[in-house]
This record gives sequence, C-alpha cells and structure tokens, in this order.
Amino acid sequence: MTLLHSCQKAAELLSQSLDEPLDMVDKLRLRMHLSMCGNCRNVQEQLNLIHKMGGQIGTIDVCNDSGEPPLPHGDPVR
Amino acid sequence: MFGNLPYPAMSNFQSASMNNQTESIALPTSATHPDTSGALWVRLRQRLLRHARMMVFEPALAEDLVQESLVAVLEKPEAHRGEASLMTWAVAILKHKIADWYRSPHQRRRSWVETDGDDADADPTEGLYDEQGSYKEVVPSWQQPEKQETQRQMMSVMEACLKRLPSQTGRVFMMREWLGFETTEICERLSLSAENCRMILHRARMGLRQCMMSQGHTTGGLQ
Repeated sequence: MTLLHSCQKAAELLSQSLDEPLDMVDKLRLRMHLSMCGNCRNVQEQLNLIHKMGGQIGTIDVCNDSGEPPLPHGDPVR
Repeated sequence: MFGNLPYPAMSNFQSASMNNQTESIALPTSATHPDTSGALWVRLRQRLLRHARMMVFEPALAEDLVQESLVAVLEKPEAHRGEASLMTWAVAILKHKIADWYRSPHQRRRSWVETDGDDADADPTEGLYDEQGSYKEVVPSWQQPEKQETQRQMMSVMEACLKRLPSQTGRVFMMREWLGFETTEICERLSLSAENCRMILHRARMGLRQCMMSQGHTTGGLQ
C-alpha cells in the first residue's frame, strides 16, 4: 500500500465517500492523509457541509423568492 | 426513499403550461389556516419554480410540476399550519414529483440531450494544486452556520453558486443531494459511467466550494 500524498486525490476520495463506501485501502490512505494534513481536514469539513446543505435546499428560506439569489461579485465557476 | 411511488399522471406534460391558473385557484378560507393568503401563495409558487427550473429543462414542464405540487398542497391545506411548514411540505411534494419524472420512461431519451458546450468539461480544481497535488494556498476553515441568519446567508449563496455550475453538473448534484438518488441510479438514468458520475459530482462540490468561498460568507479565521 502506498501512502497518499496528494491532496488532489484526497479531495476526490472525500467526495466519493459521500456517495459510496470506499474500499479498505482507500479508506486507510485517506485517513492517514487527513491525520497529517490540515488543509484536507478543512476541505473535508466544507464538503460535508455542502453535502448537508444540499439536502436542505428549499427548507431554509433565503429571503429572496422574488428572483435570483443575490451574488454581488465574482466570476462564473469554471 | 421515493422508490415505491407510482408514477403520477404524466400525460399532460406536453400540454400547454398552466402557469396562469395559479393565482386564480380559490384559496381555502378555513379558519384553521388563516395564513394562506394570495401573497403567500405567490411566494410559494415562486420558490417551487426556482427549484424546479434547476432540475428540468423545459420551462413548461417545470411549471406543470409546480402546478401539480400546488394542487396537492391545496387538497389538504388544513394539515399544515403556518408558512414555514407549508413551504417545507410543498417542497417535499415537488421533490417527489421531480424524482418521479426522472424515473419515468419518457425522461430517459432526453436526459442528456442538452449540453453546456465547453463549460461541461471545465474543471473547477484547475490551478488549485501544485505539481505534487498539494493546495497552493492555505485552505481556510469555514464558519459553521449555527445561527439561523448565517444559515440563510449560506443557503442563499449556495443556491446562487449552483446556478453558476454548468447546468448538467448542477443537475447531477441536485439529483444526488437534493433528491437523494443513489449514484448508481443517477448513472443509469443519465447513461453515465460510474467514473464519469463520480467526476461530475466531485467537480460540482469543488466548484460550489470555490464559488462559496469567493463570496466571502463562509470563511472564518484561518486555522
């Protein structure tokens, strides 16, 4: 088993783990990486929150049912 | 969760949209439901439409699904007092209607016909990592939305960010997270490979994450 050094791969596994159980090796590699990497722990927290909020869409009043939700600045996501 | 529902009547999906009828439906005047006013009804309809339009291509179809949901709410208004529970209930009904539509045989043929052009292949993680695959910049910790006002703000930002995703990417995300479909079912309904499905969901989440961060509502102090 090789160690997982890449945060990029870790993010993919974090996302995958929200949809399906990871196999044993990936699970262990991810866990080890997270134990050493604060950045990825924060990403994990963020993806978990997005996952949770996704199920709550429509049940939280966003105070703006008249049209587009406000998005004052920023470029479209690429 | 929606697995055993019978399909609703699908025959009128091609019919002219019934969107002009909503305001003219007689509102229940029951004393047990004093909050049901015309203004509430308009807000409810607008909210449902906003969500429906994220999930289905044809505007007329979105209108029809919303209309059917509103009729279902109207049929049993006394069961739900207060605007908040009425909204929640109506959204739940709409979710069932949309899930049923995705599972209907009509849907399969046209599921993936529309593309986003170049946008569909855009990778939101481009430029995020260095050559070793590590984050180029420190990833900030997000504030956990405990207060209701913070939750509202974050939800508002997330909905806006969802619209900025390539539309198919946003739709797959919504099928998974909002409708609660298993990924295997999403792949099957949309004729995608498991690998492709995984990648789309990953891009959706990373795209949302970056968009939400760029809006600044989500960052707390750096850890």
